Amino acid sequence: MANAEGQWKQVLMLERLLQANELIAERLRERLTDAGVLLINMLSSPGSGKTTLLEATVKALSDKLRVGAILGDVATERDYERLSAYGVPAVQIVTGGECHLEAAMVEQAMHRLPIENLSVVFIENVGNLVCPAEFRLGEHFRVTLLSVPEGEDKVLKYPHAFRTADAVLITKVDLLEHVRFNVELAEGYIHSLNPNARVVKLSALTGYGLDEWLSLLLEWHKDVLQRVEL
Amino acid sequence: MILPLHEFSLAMQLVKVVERKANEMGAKSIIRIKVRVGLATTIVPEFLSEAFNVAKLGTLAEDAELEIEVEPIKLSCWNCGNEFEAEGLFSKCCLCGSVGGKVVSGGEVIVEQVELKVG
Repeated sequence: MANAEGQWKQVLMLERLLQANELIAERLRERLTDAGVLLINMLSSPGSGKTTLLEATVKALSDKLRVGAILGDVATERDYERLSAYGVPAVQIVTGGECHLEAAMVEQAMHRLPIENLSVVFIENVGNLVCPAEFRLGEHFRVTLLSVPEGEDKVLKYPHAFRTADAVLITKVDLLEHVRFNVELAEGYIHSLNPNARVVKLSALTGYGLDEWLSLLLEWHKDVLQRVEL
Repeated sequence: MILPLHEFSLAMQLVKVVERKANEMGAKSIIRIKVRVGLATTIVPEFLSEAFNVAKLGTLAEDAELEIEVEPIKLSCWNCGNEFEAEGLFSKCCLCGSVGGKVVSGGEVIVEQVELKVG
């Protein structure tokens, strides 16, 4: 077609905006499945206990699963230092202001992990319940943490991070007697968004719920190994 | 002006996607972009517009107009399977009254169409 300013053309695209990210995520997931490595994407607000839970998980799992970690933060390498202290191969991605991780960053970071020696890699996403929900990182399973001091209405305010989670971990339950948090309501909200989400109540401090979390991880790892055989 | 970071990175992605298409078609510039934003995403259409106005500078989309079509949320009730248009993810099914459902539309951002200047 033409108008006074010259030729112009309408082109139908119908392309998902995040398609490029999704393709990389898919490629990464296939690579890890082939290697028999379970990849978990952890989402939460800042300070909900991701790193503390990882420390507890590593301590408890060291004889069953070999753990690696990719840590996303806007600044600092603190989490990296905390996990390295446990002998966990870890890669820190400092996003320099970016509010979420994207699949390409994780794919790059993965080159720095000895995945042939690992059975599970945890991605600690940037502490934020909004944007990380939109970006698949190649994970086999997505876990969203909700710590009890945040209140159960976090699920109502930031539904996307919970809608897309395979499991929701209600953390810091040792604080339940000190804060207002209605566990039943929280579970109801989560299941309204996602009836299949597993909900695990946890305290990394006292160890409450840790066994349930660990058996979920072992179940997921088995699931990934079975995918290889198919 | 405060630029919302999240939408800014999506606006950059949008520019990348349409520039790739423009280059494929040998276009001189991009005149108009039509995007469909679902309400069951974390993207705020107004913020995406603002961010786009910055992200497009110095690109083939510099003079492009962004048209955003907002797509309502449609849920399929977890309980009875009824599909209904919902105000939010916690809306009640209009048939059985149970809360929430599987998102059947409104969960994506789609680049629908571009208008290119070719001659």
